[in-house]
Amino acid sequence: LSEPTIDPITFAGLGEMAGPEFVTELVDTFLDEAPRMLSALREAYAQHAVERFRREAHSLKSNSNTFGALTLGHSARDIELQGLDATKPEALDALDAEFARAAAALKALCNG
Amino acid sequence: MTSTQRWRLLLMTLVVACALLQAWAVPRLPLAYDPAIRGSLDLTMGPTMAGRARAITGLGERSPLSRAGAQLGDLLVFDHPSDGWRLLGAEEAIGLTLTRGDLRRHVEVRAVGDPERDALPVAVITLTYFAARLIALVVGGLIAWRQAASPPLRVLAAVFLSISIVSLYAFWPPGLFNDYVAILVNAVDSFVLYVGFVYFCLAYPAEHPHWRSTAVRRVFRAFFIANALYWTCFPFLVLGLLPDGMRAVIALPIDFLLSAIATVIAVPALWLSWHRTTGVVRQRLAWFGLCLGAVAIVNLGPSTLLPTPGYEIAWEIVAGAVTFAGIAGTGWALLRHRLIDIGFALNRLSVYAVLGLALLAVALVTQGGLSMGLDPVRHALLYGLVTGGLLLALFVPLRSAAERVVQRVLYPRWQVTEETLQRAVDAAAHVRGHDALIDHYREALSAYANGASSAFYDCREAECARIAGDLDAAPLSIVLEATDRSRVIDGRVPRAWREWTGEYAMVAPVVHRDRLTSWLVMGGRPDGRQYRPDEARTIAATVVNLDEDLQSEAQRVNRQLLEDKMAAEQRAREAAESANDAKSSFLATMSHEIRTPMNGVIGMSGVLLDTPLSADQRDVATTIRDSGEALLTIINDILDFSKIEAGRMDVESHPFDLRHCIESALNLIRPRAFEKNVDLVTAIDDDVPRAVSGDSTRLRQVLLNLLSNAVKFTEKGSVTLTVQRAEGDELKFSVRDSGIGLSPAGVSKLFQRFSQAESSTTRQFGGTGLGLVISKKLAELMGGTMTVESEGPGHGSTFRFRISAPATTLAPQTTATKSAVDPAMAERHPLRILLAEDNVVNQKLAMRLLKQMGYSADLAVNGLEAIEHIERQSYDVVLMDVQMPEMDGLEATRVLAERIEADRRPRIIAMTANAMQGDREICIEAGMDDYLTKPIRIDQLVEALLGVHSRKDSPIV
Repeated sequence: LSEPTIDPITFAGLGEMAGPEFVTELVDTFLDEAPRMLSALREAYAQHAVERFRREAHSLKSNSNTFGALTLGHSARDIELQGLDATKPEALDALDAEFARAAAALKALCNG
Repeated sequence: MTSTQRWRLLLMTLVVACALLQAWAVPRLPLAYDPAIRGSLDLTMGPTMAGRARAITGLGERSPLSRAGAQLGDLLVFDHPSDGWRLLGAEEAIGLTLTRGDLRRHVEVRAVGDPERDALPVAVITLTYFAARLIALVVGGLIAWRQAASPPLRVLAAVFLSISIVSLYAFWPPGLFNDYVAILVNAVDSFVLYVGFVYFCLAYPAEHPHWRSTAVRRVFRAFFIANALYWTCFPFLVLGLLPDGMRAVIALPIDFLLSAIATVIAVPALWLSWHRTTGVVRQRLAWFGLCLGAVAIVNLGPSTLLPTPGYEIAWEIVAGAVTFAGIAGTGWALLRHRLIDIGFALNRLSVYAVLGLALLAVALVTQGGLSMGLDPVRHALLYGLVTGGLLLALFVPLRSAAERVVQRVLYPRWQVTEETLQRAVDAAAHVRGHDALIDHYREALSAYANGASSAFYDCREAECARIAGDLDAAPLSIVLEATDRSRVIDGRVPRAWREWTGEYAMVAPVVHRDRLTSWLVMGGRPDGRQYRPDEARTIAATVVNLDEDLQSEAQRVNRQLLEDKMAAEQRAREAAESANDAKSSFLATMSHEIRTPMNGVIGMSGVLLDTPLSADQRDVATTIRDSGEALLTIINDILDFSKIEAGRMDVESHPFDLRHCIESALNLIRPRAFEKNVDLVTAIDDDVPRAVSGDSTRLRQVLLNLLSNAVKFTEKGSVTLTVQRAEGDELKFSVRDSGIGLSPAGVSKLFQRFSQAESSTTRQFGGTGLGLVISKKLAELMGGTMTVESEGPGHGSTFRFRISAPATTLAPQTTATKSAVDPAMAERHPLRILLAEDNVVNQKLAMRLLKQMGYSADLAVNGLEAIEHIERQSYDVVLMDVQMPEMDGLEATRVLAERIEADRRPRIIAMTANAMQGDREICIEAGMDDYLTKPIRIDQLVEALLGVHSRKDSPIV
C-alpha cells in the first residue's frame, strides 16, 4: 500500500472544519514556516542542541499531521523519538526531500 | 495379424467356399421334384449290408430291373455306390450287379421317367436336408466369426462347415459325378464330424469350469469315441475295400458291434448327464447332449436303426428334420450363450405344433383356392409365397393364441402361478408406502420365479440407484453406458452385469417417453432354469404395474404432504404473528427502558463532574461515567443484535458524503489510537465516488466497530483503512491492523454470535463479541459481505467488507462547513480563552476554529507568557500546548497549580501532538484538566470547551 503524500481525508476534513480559503492561507503559513523549522532543526543538529532539536522535530510533525502530510509527519516523528544522537544526517536530507514533495502536493491541492 | 484374425480369415474363406457351392447347387434343386427329368429304378431296397449289398424289398411294375430278371430278395450292388442314394435322371444308364444265391450277374439298366412317384415327399426330403446344410453353414460361419479365439469352437465351426458341404452331391446332375469322390467326401465328413465333436467335448469344458464334472466328461467322451470308431470303419465297409472273405468274417460283425455300442452308449450318456448335474450345468449339458447327440444318431444311418421297409421316405424326413433341429439348437446355444430347459422346449414345441396345424389348415384352403392349371414349379412357388406371407403377417397373434391354448390345456400349473401373481398385483392397491409397495411386488415376483432374488433400481440421468432388493451382489448404484441402457430398455441383461446378476437373470425396464426411469433385475432361478419368454413378459408387465402403483403412491404422498404443509404453515403463521407482536413491543420497551436510566446515569455523572470535586470524588465520578458509557455500548450492541435477529433492522438509502462519513468514524477512533501510539492510516482510491447512496449511520457503525477493534487489539504499529471501488456499484473496505492476529480456529469462530476468537480475549480486552456479528449482518443488509483473514496469531488481521453503494450526487450544501460548528456557541457558552501555542500554523488554526464558534482568544507563545497572562487576568480555560520553548506546557501548569488555588485556576486543556504513551497521564499528573490531541478536531474542541464551566460571576474582559 503506497501511502499518499497528503492524506485526502485529513486534508478534506481540515477544509470542512476551517473553510477552504482559510486552509489555503494556513498552507501558505506552513510553507513559509516549515523551511525555517527545517533550518532550525539543522542548526540544532549542528550545535548538538538536543532539546531544541526534539522540539523542532515535534513542531514539524504536528504541523505535517495537521495537513495530512503523513509521511513527512512520520519522518519527523521518527527523528523526534530517536533523538539527536541517533539521527543521521541522511535522515535530515530525507526530511527535506519529503517536505519538498509534501509542499508540492499541498500547493497542488490548494490551487486545484 | 493375430492368431485369432488368421483363424477367422481361414474359416471365413471356408464359409465363402461353402456358400458358393451351395449357390451352385440351388438351381439344381428342381431335379429333385421335376418329373420331366427325374428318373427312377422303381424299386425299394433294404439297408446296406456288408460289401454295400442291399436286398431288393419291392419292385414296381415299370422297374427296369423286373425286365432284367431281378426278383424280390436278390442282393443288389451298384457299380457306382452313390447311385444307391443319389437322385437319378430319366433314361440314365445305371450299372449294377445282382446276386441270387451263388448266381451273380452284371446288368446295365436305364432309369425310367417317373412323374407319379412320390414327387412331394422327395421334395420335402431334399428341402429339409438342404435347409439343414444351410443352417450348418450359417452356424459354422457365425461361430467362426465370433469365437475364432477358442480352439474347440474353431473345430466346431469347421465341423458345421463340412456338414454344409456333404450331401450336396445329391443335387449334382447325373453323368458328371464321380461317386468315388462322393464317398470320399462322405467319409471325410463323417470323420471330421465325429473327431471334431470328440475334440470339442474334450477341449470345450476346459474353457468352461461348469463342465468339470468327471462323470459327465467320461460319458460324453465314450459316446463320441464310439461313434468316431464306427465312422472311421465305415468307408472300409461301404467301399468294400476288404477282401470278400474278410468282409464276411470281420466287417459285418464289426459294423453291427460298433453301431450297437454307439447307440447303446449314446442314450444312457444323455440320461446320465441329465441326472448327474444340477442347475445351469444340467441345462447346458442337456441341451448340448440333445442337439449334438441327435445329429450324431441320425448320422448313424439306416444300417443301425433299421427302418421298416416302405417307410424309407418317412425316415429320411425325420432324419433330415432332426439334423436340422440339432444343428440349429447347438448353434443357438453357443451363439446366444443361453439355453432353454426341456420343459420349456416341449412347451414351445406344442405351441408351434398348434401353430403348424393352424397353418396346415390355411395351406389346404389356399391350395383349394389355387388354379390347378399351373405347372408344378410355379404352383410350389405360389403356394409357398401365399402360406409364407400369411405366416409372416399372422405370426405374433397366431402364436399368442396358440400359447393360450397350450397353456390352458397342457400347463395348468403355469396358469396357477400366473394367477397367484395377478392376485398379488391386485392386492397391491391396498399397500401404502413407497418401500412397502416395492417389497410387496418383489415378494410376489420371487414367488412367481421359484424364489429368485431381485433388485429394484431407480434411474436419474446416467446413474441408477438401488432402492430395494435381496440380490446380494447387486451394486448400490450403476452408471449406465449407452449400450447398457439400450440393452436394459430391450429387457436384456448387459453382459458385464452377469457377474452379479447370474447367467440367467432378466431385466424388466420401465420406460417413459423413451427414457429409462427404473428397472427391476431378477436374478437367476435357484434351479437354474432360465426365464421363458412368456414369463419374461409377465414379469415385465408386473414391473410396469409396480411403477404405476409407485407413481400414484407418490402423488398420494405429495397431496398429503401438501395438505400437512399448508395446515402447518397456517398454524405457524398464526403463532408467528402473535409471537412477533410480543417481540416487537418487548424490544421497543427494552430499548427505551434501558436507555433512559443509562442516559440518566451518564448525564448526571457528567453534571457531577462539572461541580467542584475533590480528586477522589472526581475519580469516582469519572469511573461512573466511563462505566455507564461502556454499558450503554454493550446495551446498544445487544439491542442492535436483537433487531437484526428479529429481522427488524432496517437499512436506509440516502445520498451522503462518503469521505465525511469515513472521517467521522476516524475522528472517534483517533484519540484512542493516539493514546496507544498506533498509526491510523487511510487510503481512499481516487475513483471512489465522493457521494454515494446508502445508509451512512450503519456504514459508520461498521467502520467504527472494525477500527475500534483494530486499535483495541493493536499494541504497536498501525491500523490501515483502505477504500476501493469494486465491480458494479460496490465499495470495498478493508481494515488492516498489526495487532494480535487470529488463529485459523479463531477466524472461524469470529463471526459467530456471542463468541470472541479466544476466550482469553474477553478477559484481556473486554467486549461482548457482538460487534463483529452486527457488523457482518449490517454489511450483508447493505448488500455486501464481510470476511476476515489473518496470517496467524501475532501477525495482525485484515477485515474486508463490501457494500452496495451506487454513486450519486449530493444536494448542494448551504454552508461550506458542515461540522458541528455553531457560530453562536460563544453567546450561549461564553468563555475567556487563552491559547498558549508557539507554532504559527497551530496558532492560526486554533484561532480560526475558535473564531468560528464566536470566541476570540488571547495568545501566549510559551509557558512563561502564559503564566504572565493568567496572573494578570482571569481565564476560563487555557488551551495549553505541551511542547513550547522557554517553558513547556507541563512546567507552566505545575507553576500555575502551585500559585493558584484549584477553584480559581482556569481549566487547563492540554493540546499535544505527542507520540509518547501515557501522555495523558503525564498531563493530568501535571495538573491539566483535559487533553486534546493534535491535529485539533473541531468536535473535540467543542466538547472540551463545553466541559468548561464558564464563570458567570466573573466579568468578561
